Amino acid sequence: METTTATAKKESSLSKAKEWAKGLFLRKKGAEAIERRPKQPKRKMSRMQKREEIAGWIFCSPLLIGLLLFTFVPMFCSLFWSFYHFDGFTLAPAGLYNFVHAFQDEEVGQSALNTLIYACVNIPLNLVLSYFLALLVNNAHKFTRVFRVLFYLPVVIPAVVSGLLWKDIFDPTFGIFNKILNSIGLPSFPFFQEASTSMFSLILMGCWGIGGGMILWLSAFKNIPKDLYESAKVDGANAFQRFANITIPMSTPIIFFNLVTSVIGSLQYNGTLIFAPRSGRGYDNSLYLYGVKIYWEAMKSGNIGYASALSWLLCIVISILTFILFKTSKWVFYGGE
Amino acid sequence: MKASKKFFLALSMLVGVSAASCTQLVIEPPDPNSSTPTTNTSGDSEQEQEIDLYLDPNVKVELSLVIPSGNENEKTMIESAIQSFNLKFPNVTFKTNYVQVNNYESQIRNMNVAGQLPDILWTNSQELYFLRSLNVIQPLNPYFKASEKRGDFNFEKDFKTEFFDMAGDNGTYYAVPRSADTVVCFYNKKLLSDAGISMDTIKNGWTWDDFIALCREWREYADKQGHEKDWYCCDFNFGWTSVDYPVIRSFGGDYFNEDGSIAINSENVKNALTMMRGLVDDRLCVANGMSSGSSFQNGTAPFIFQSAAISHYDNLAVLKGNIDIVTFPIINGEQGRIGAGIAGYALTNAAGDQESEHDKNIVAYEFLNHLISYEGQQSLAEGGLNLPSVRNDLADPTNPDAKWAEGYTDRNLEAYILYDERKVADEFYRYIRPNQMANVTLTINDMIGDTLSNSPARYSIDEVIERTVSSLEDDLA
Repeated sequence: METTTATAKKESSLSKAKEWAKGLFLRKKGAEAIERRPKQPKRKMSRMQKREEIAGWIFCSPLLIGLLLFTFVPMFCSLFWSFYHFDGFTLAPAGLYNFVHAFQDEEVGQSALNTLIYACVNIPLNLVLSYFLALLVNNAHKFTRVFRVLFYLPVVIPAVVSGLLWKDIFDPTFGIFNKILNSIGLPSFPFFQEASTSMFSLILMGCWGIGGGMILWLSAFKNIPKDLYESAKVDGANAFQRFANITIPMSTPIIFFNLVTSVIGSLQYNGTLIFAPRSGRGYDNSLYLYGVKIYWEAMKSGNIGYASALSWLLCIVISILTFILFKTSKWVFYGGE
Repeated sequence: MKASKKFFLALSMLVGVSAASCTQLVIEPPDPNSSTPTTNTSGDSEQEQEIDLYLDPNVKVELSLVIPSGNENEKTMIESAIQSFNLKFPNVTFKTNYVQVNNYESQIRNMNVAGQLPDILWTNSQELYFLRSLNVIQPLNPYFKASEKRGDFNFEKDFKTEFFDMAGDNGTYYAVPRSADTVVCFYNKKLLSDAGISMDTIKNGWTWDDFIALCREWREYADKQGHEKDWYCCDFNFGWTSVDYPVIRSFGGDYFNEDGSIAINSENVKNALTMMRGLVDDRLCVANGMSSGSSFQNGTAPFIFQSAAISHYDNLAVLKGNIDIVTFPIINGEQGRIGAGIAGYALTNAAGDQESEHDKNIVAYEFLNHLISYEGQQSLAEGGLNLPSVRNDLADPTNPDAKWAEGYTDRNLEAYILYDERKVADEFYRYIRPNQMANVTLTINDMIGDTLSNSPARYSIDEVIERTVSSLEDDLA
């Protein structure tokens, strides 16, 4: 009996090997045949095709010209300037000085640390809050649509306006937050007026934009097939099990997307320029983020070459982090897998 | 063409365009030691070159001019000056662009990178140091000398030269002041009268003690009205160097010594800062970072320190007819200083090479010359400039021909022109490099901000000074 089974297994594997070899042989032959094929003269495009191609280029040209002029040329310029002492007037070669100086500049260290703290707290907090907000407004309810609009509304407000709005909201004397605190007998909170509370206030303010993440989560939830939930219900899964085993795995592509964009956005953030004291740096440089440092060097101190080098260092860091995120993204579940 | 060839062609084009953008548009300023003359007050110098001001009155030139954005008054003034200039040179046209005053340096750098530096540039006392240090603007002494030779003016005799000194360095002038700007104390007569506060002590030459006495009376009044925390007597404008710097100087202090070393760590500066903190503690001045519920502009605070024209406030419905001005209160007697400065126009190096574009360069100067001429000053006044003229023959507000005083002859406009010997501009900027200006300004603002703090965890004045010195050392490193 055992001998028969072993023979059958051997035959099966032999036939598989034969099929594989046959496939390989055919593919090799096919490739050779393609190579041997006489090269076809390039077919002349018809007038219609030419017209279509020209039309295609015309339609693309605004984007291409815009990309060239407003993205690639400035990028190249900043790369070029990063190797020079450039103040907008004089250009003197600096070699790698700007890059080396970035590692010796205490302000860079301080701003990088502030940015790291901001990113480490802000990213998970926003992801989790927007996720739960989306869960709340995902269910069909009488006022669901109203809540969705209300939660998304802050995202529509321009950044400058919302920055100024928060400046007023956090005003130590007349701000609505402190009025509320005072009305329930609590003392006023200093918000951006003290170094120790500035970062907390900034992170609190960051929650203003969770409506943007909520919309992405909602779109992910809508793409989860209903029959998965129905089957799970039939199998006796409770609400938490359905959430943990269906909702979360099925929304991992959006989690990943939100994570990548949040990491990039948080590291580049310089919104404090609009509302924070001391030209966006906060008291004791408590809000001196890396993006603010770049702005300050380029626009205030006129060290455009140095600011360009700092920008390229940030670009390298973001590229490495994004690469790592993609390389460790096996936990992301794409439906077709 | 193969795809790879197309790619490399596109890439090389991109690199070419970018390289052109990065390098070609950077205008190297001319070597200050070569063609640009350097002179002293009298204009005597070995290197000085003689300027030929001859121009065909029908010369056809377009000049570019940059003025501050969001300042309708400056626009109407300059338009009025252009109109009167066109009576002399009818074919000269002007292309006006704008610059944000609070982002001035960055925008000027961008203009230069883009090759868009104008021929004539608005500037103020502070930004003049920035422009000068980068050789963006031309010294005007040879032009002045040529004008004097032609008989346009006698520099020493015709002008209030102390304001030209604020637009220059060691006798080399870089801009023409369009008006003489002095910090004065505006006061709201109606508000003080309603509060039952006597205005007898409010007169030119009054002292800081007189002023503080009125502030205390206002404090009492505001407290009785139930505005203990939100009404303040004065918009002091500390944090604006035209106010805080003269106060420091009035106490005998300074920010930098003449050799460029830091001068903040002194007993005099400490006394000045202690006085400022006292104002916060006595609720006469709003604390740093806090909002005041009252302001002079809204008609709820009786005083403000400002250098604006009287029309700026008198045109507001809530203040119309109720305001007047008086000299800045004198602190510490003879030592007392008053903030002053200039706003004016400079000739950039972009105005043209003096040989190849002689006409353009000279026309640009002729416009500056026009601004300080009798007709030019009058036309600026007609355009809305209600600040004292830089010309001696028009400076006196009681002169019936002086149009800048028209409509306000019943007010104390003399406050603008008195005590010239006490006036100081923010001249400490001359000791630092242009790329240090922003950080130094921020550090000084921090010092004033920390001084005016009312937080329970605030620094002592000694700590404020210590932190400022340490910060300045970093800024200047």
